[in-house]
Amino acid sequence: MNLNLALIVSSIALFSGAGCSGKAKGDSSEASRASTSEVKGQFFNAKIVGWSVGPEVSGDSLQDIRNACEIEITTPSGEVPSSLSVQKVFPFMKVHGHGAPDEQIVTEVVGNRIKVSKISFIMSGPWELHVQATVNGQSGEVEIPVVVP
Amino acid sequence: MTPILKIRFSFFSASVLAFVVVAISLPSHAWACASCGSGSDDPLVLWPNEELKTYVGVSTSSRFETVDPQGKYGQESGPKSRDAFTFAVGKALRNDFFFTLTLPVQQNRLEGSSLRSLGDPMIAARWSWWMPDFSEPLRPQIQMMTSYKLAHSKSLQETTRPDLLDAFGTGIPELKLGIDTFWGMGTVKGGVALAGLFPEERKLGRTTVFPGNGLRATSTVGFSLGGDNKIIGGLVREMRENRRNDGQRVEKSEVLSHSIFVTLDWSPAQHNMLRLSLTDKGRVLENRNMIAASSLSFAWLATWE
Repeated sequence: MNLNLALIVSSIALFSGAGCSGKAKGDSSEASRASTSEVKGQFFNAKIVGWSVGPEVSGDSLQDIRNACEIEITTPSGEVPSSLSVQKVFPFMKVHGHGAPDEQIVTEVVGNRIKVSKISFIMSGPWELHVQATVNGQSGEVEIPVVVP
Repeated sequence: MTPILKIRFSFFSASVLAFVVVAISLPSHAWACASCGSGSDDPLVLWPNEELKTYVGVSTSSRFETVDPQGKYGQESGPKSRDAFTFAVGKALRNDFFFTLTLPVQQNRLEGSSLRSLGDPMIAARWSWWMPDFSEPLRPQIQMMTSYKLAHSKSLQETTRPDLLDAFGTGIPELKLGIDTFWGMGTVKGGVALAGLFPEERKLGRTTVFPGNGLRATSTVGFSLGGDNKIIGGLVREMRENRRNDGQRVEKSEVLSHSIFVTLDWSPAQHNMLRLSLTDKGRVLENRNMIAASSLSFAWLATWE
């Protein structure tokens, strides 16, 4: 009987207490648009030096996928590489375990920078931009953190 | 607290307790279970003496918002509403044991376009360890429950469309094992269900993902509205440990989710039940690494001789 009462009363308390919400909206400040600190990889280092569009949650058509940034690549010792080619750049959201459609992503190498456009971020939150590249003949991958407001 | 508030609080507490004591001593014939109608467990449960039962339901979910590891709410692209047609059938093998098969057909909608697919089928079973007894209204019903959800539909990891209309499931099969305790014989009803969630590790797209084992707790309280009619509300708390991607533990990926629901059961005729449920997920208490949504469902449950 006591257990029964306690259970019912606690259920009421639990249910009635559920009205409190600690809801907070995502950060949409300019901070997320700033360049990232350099990420060091085994064969190359990478750093986002700027976003021409975004980072922002993408729209629902190819025309609405507009995120574009420029990534600077250096050798592990911090020098400008003599050769650079890109295999793939794609976004992934580690904390949710999924990526986003990436077939539409366009990359262009200019000097030691990679211009990346049409990056899709399908939701707000912490993402990683994976860069698979060959630098001075050695292929590797780095992941650059990106916060999408 | 001032004395007058203390007096008011005491009077309120005593009134609630008195109401509960009187209410649970009144007999009622409305069966239920703690996880029934919560939208997070099995949609169909058979009561003693029911041999074959069906569930036909429609539901719609909308108002999606993402919740990040810090509990901040944000936006997402993709479908603006997800509708489902769910058919479930349950068969009792004994008076205290039954199994159910659930088949959902889902439809993702986005301004002007939609896509339909079979969702993730689920097979479930329950064994009543303690059966309810009209002669002992304070004796709870205790059921052991298990279910296995197949991963049939395409997941976010496998989607190829920018509008994400082709993503219908998690892509991960999952086993659930739990216990459901319910006091359902009185006018006031209540119960608690606890279930362990054990997903499988699976390669989806480029990554082998493991969403982390979880625990789901459902607490309900309800009232009989006479006969088999009743209203039940509750709170569902779901937690998951850190996920693993390619075997690597991901920091700050723990999931915390709270949902509230209210379910109205109305029996217009013997062996028939109409069920209306409202669920709001991720908008109460603390939430992390989940998608908030609001859902409305309507179902017809029929018992067959």
